[in-house]
Amino acid sequence: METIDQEVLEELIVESQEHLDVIEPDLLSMEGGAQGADPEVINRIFRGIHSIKGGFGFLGVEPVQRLAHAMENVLMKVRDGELAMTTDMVDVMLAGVDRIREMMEDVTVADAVDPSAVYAGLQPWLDDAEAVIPPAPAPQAPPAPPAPAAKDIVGKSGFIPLRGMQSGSAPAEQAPEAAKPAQPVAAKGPAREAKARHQGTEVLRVRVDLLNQLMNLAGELVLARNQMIQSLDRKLTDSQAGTGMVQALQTALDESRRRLRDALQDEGRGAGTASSPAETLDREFTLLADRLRQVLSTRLSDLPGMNANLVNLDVVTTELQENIMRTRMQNMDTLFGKLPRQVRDLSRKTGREVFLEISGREVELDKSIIEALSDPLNHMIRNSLDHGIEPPEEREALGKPRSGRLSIRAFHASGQVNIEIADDGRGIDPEKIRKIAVEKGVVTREQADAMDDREAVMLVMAPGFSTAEQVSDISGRGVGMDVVRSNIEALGGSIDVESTVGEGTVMTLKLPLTLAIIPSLLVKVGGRRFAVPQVGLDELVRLRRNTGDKSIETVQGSEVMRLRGKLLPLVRLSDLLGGGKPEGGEDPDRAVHILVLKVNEDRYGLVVDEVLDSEEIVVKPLPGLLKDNACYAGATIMGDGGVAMILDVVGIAEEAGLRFSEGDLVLHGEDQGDAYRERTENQTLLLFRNHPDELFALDLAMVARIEAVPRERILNVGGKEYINYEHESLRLVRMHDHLPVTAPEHEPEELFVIIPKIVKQPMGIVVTACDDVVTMRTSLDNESLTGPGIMGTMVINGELAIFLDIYGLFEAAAPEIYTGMDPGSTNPAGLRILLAEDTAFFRTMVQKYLEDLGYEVEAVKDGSSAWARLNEDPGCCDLVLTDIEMPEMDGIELTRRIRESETLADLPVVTLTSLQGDDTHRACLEAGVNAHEWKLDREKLAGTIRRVASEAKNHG
Amino acid sequence: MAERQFVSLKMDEHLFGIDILLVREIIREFAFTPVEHSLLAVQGLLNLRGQIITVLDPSCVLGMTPRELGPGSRCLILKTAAEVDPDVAAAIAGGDLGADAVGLIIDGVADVVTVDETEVDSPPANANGVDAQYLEGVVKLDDSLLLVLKVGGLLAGAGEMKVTADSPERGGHVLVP
Repeated sequence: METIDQEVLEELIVESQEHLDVIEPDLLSMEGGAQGADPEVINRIFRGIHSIKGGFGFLGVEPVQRLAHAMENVLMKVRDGELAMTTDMVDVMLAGVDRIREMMEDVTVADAVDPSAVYAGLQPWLDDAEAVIPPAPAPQAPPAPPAPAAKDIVGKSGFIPLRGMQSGSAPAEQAPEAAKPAQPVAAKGPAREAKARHQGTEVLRVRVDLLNQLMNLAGELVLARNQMIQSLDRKLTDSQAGTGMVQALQTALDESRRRLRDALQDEGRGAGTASSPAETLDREFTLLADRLRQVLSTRLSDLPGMNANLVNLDVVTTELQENIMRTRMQNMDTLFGKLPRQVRDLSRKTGREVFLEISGREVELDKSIIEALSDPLNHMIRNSLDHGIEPPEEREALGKPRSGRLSIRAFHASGQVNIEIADDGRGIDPEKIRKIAVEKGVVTREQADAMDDREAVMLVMAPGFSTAEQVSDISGRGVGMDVVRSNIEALGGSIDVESTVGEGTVMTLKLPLTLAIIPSLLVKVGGRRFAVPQVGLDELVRLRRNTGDKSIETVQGSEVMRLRGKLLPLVRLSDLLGGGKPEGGEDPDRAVHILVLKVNEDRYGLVVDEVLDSEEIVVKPLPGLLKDNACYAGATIMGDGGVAMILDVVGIAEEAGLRFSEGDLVLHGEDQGDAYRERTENQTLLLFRNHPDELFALDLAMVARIEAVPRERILNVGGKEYINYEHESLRLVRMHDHLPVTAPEHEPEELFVIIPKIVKQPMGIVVTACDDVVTMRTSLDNESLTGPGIMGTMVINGELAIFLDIYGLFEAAAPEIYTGMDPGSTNPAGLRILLAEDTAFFRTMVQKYLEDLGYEVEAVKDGSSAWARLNEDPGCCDLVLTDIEMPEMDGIELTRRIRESETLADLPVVTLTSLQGDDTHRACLEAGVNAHEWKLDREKLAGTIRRVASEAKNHG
Repeated sequence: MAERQFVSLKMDEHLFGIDILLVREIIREFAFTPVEHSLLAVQGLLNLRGQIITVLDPSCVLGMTPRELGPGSRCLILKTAAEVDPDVAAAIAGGDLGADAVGLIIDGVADVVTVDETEVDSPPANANGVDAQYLEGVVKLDDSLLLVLKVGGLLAGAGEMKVTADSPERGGHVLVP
């Protein structure tokens, strides 16, 4: 008897939870819209509560039955139009829902839950007769199954609601014997109703451990496939070698046969007998040669068939794996479904008025990630309500709408799931953050001052930082944003905060879709393979040693590298692991490979011997005995059956004792001059080809990404070519269609698409080969070869390289989009610009840009020349455009002198930097520049010049 | 009267026995990936049909000369806690067998020794220089003494022994099958 009761009870609890999950949002939706309430909604609430009452009544769980009954009575009146659903009523009903949930956690002690507040709340709407319901706990214990069993069973969430199913918050785990429920009589009614709601897709509960097993098996299958492909590759090579041997053998055989025949003929002249043993021998030889030929042809023919099978297997395996992985996926509703209630409660508690906006409920993530996200997300929402959104009065005083807006958005971007939590509250004041961070000893005053506002805002996530000035019930719980950040990072994700004072804060989480299979880069150190997760990888740098490159230097006993003007601390994996020396010893001519890895906002370089390939790997957790090693994140099995360790990017930085702040500070110290000089002289260029004989170059800083694209992925729509890139279609351009360059004679199967940045609506540039990335001194020749889309030429490694002007190319390819600026209108006043730039390349480039826009440009090679020119003729220009880092007199000094001069003080000055987001901005503003721009961004630069010029005109 | 069977293996001049109920299999050709680690006995990781096996050198735990890897080397794969009947484990493992599969590097297998369980005597405090915490008992054979290893104790010991400055140099080479 008891076992039947228990099964029925479990079933009932699961269903009741599903009811409550529906009732809760329904109640919230009724709030405020009392008169126009949808009768279907109130009916649904009513039916749900009614079912709960009936079910628990049948099983004799009185506390639940009584409470549900009281709620039902009030709901009936609302349904019949006697009462309107008020905010207060919603409050009471929600409290009732909570109490029922609590009671269901362990029905044997359901009477320990105190629902008196709910009864008191319901009282005003109840008739006297109904109010008789005793609020006091029942004297006798309800006849319920044994406590431990019920408790074990309920509360744990061992099942994943499958795709397409309205996901409940915590469906109870069923004991194995309950897996085939014996159609409980009492639960039948509610069960049918629950089913009716999920009509359409049939759903099935599957045990999580079974899914995990399937997942593992799929992983094994992937490995088996990889191994098979590898061994087949080997066989193919073997067979090719074999074919060669057979051919050699056959040639030898033919030769022997020929000689034999010759010998026979010599002999035959004498003897002339019909069938000599020699002739038989000749026949044998012929047969042998034929057989060999046969063997040869079968060997060649069976392999292609094999290949097709393998391709098939490959496709099926991949699909199987993806589908099994998808069974582990849950949509964001699991997380987001609870938010309206939570935000409502919090906003009432904090006295805020909040309009909650949720989008991307359909976005899916791995169950384990969803589970781990719950706490961080809650914390961030609490923060937004408590610190972000102002109280309504304060908002009105500020001229903002009374209700704050909290928007939570999930979406896919670059293979990751992004979750954005945005509020329109007061924002984070970087000055305040700096102050607190210094007070709390998180950073020193100097470090804080050196940070730009963005970096300062990120300090809220530094350990030991908590912004709550007073501990509040809502967010000041001792767990700070640092915990949020470490939780997110433990999932292989990252978090970013952007904030504008007075306008609000946007926090963005980036998360991998799944933890089980990750894209990684394989590298070799000391003859061993390691996998580096792609999420932690920023870029790859290859340094040639024999060029006398001093890019690797030693600062304060540790190795560092200069990367675009920043010092990058280096870690040698071989040193850290104490493993073998690189193969073949320290060869000075060997190129050094450096993986630039990111740890939060910081970067470091990991020196490895060899970079192998990128591959999707199946992550195997580390066995217990190896768990304490921070350098490893797991292990994986390679295609050849060997084991490779997965490196932990953060762990390695910690193990190596890297302290990033110090590394950054060195730049401001003794090495500064040197660093600046190199910065201006060297440029990093991407070298690529369209026709094999034509080399092109593009500044790497202008490239967002290079994609290898199989030719068949390019779509032709209306005479224009597109590819799907990050879920959007990206238009492609071919250089030879628009520029005076050679078209490739034949196109390879795989093409490369260069996706530029800076440009507003980028198009992908299709090229046939990407050669290399080189860092070198540039000097541009813009006379020998010019034309639209070509900036000039330069000899690189003995070959003439054409510098591509992407703006020119895009203008030629899509004039309707890119030629928004009519030269005539941009320079009506005949603005004259004095350009001071020491790097020939940039001098030429910027001058060309500006002249294209119709400005009159006079270019000089450094700050002192500009100063001399200005002194010689103070009226020579209307605006000075100057590089910052120049020998002798830099841009800041030039600006200072201009500002101090009597005649020139009002001359507008715009400084140019070659580095995006560098730290010179403040110094420039202090010196008195009108604006500071990145020299590679032509559109912004043009806008700035227009603005500064018109300001100066209005001013004067 | 119940019989017990031991896989016997030689380490230095000693003959050790591991109860066959705790042995999953012994593999002849194996290649493992060395893993630098703070635990002295951990040699690396091995892929056995898709499962990752932690490879230990038992001699590091027992205080003997580290095993030299050679053509005669074998890897003895122990059963995990889940693979052994809990009652059996409680009786003979002498500690937790753990959830992860572990392989022991051994110098070739001598034999399987079958004895009556009554022949297993409790170990002396210091049997031939081997710490008693790693021994379940000893069996007197005709010409030698079989030291019965307490596998749970061995694994626990492996988890505690850290690499120190004067630890012997690691092998670090990979056997290729």
